[in-house]
Amino acid sequence: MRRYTVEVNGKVYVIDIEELASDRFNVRLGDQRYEVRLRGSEDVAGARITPEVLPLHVEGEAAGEGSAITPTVANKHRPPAPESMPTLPMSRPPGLPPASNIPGGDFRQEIVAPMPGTILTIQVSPGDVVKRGQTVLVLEAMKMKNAIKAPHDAIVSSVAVQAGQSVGYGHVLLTFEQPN
Amino acid sequence: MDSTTVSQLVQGIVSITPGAMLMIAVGGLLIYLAIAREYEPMLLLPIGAGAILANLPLSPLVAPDGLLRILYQAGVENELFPLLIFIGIGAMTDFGPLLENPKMLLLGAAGQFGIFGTLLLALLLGFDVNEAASIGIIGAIDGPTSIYVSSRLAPHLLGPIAVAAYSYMSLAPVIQPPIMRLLTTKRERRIRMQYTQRAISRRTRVLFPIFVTIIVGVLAPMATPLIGMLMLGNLMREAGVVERLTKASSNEIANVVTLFLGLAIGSTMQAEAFLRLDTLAILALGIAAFALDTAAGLLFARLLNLFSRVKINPLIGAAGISAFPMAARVAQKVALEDDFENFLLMQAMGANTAGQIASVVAGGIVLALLTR
Repeated sequence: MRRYTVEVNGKVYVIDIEELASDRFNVRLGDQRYEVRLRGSEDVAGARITPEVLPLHVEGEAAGEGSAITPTVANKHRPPAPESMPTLPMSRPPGLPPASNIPGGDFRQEIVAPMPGTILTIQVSPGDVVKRGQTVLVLEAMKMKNAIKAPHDAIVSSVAVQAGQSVGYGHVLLTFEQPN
Repeated sequence: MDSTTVSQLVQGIVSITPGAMLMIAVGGLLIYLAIAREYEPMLLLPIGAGAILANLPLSPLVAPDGLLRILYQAGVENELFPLLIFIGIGAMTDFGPLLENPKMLLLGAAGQFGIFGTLLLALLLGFDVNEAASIGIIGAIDGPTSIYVSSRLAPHLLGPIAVAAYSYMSLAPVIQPPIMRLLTTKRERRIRMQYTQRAISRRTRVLFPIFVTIIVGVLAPMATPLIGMLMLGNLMREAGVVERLTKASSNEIANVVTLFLGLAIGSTMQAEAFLRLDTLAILALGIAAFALDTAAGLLFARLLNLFSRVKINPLIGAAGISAFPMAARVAQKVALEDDFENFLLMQAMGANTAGQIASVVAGGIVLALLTR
């Protein structure tokens, strides 16, 4: 489960998001519970978003203040919410595999764990320049070592995990900057 | 000192036969494979040692009250050892990836085609039907199942069958990839599969082994011992309240039984039983079984893709066999060759555990068809 504390127009909301399946989430906001289904996800660099929260199932009080949150803190490369797609702030929609690895395709600003496992070694540090195909870290899953490689040439801007840490599917491992 | 004393002193040397020397060399080869190549060392080392010990001249170990003979009678003849090992395998296996992806059961079933294909081949080569079925079961790529079935149907072939099953199990990374590349296109190998991480509730995990045992037991009664022990181990694992039993099953009991089983199997490899043309035929048919399994899994996955909107990567079809977790790792490795970001290990693990269940069921079906 992930907990996001967002401030909207000076008011603080605590949002708990629990991943039920890769595309289904349990979202709790105060007394209200939403079941959210992710319909799609795109990496649109620099896009601004105005997510809409549509309660599919509401438990507890009737939907009130929760139904029209517009978070001001938004991850700048998060997908724009397609119409009627309930979206909530997440570091990354963990449901879908990374959008593209085609050379010359969209630049991916982060690498996420392709499956649950344990970080064995981290072979880069922030500021490193990496080439496409270079191993950045090793993820052990089901007793097998899996080399996680850079999808394109990039500069490592941050490492979000530590060696020995266990990660779930979709957990952000590294973030990249575009090399100039 | 008269001549009787002398001949008593050298009776070991004069009793050496060329066949026994050759078998000692075979035992040495198995030990070499175990130590230098790490092919299933836990089994091949005791098997090799058993073969050497059984073939030494006048070896008291294989006399009626010798240790190897006793082990054989205690656990192989009556199928006790493979069943005990199954408890341990169940206790070690996480069926989570399969429960997340129940469709994988189809791939596990397809991966058993080699059993029946090889059975037919063996019949063509002139083996009788019980022998052919025992050889075919090598296609389950599952050591304990092979031992279980062949000790009931064709105990005289146990040695070569066990050696073939265990050594091919560890040869998955050598045998499978060429077939996988041959029977899939690069485009298919690059198919990425969405990973659905479903939360599997504890209740499901606990009920799964119980239901599987009952369903399989009713449908294929001959498979009850195998599936029952496998699922007993798994039930203990998932129940979480008998950790000591789970640990004992997956460590101490499994280890002790593996040692005993290996030695007993090795002791069946006596020159007169092993040094026959049949042995070579069995080893060759074993490879054929493995290749057929792999091919059937790949082609079946491709067939599914014709009907299914969500495409599966056919490579995981090759993981639908019992060699766990080698087959799943091989699928993952081959997928990464063409796309270093294509991670399908979890799906492959699902197919692989399905293959384990399916091979046990297949073993039960073979027994049901042939035991009267």
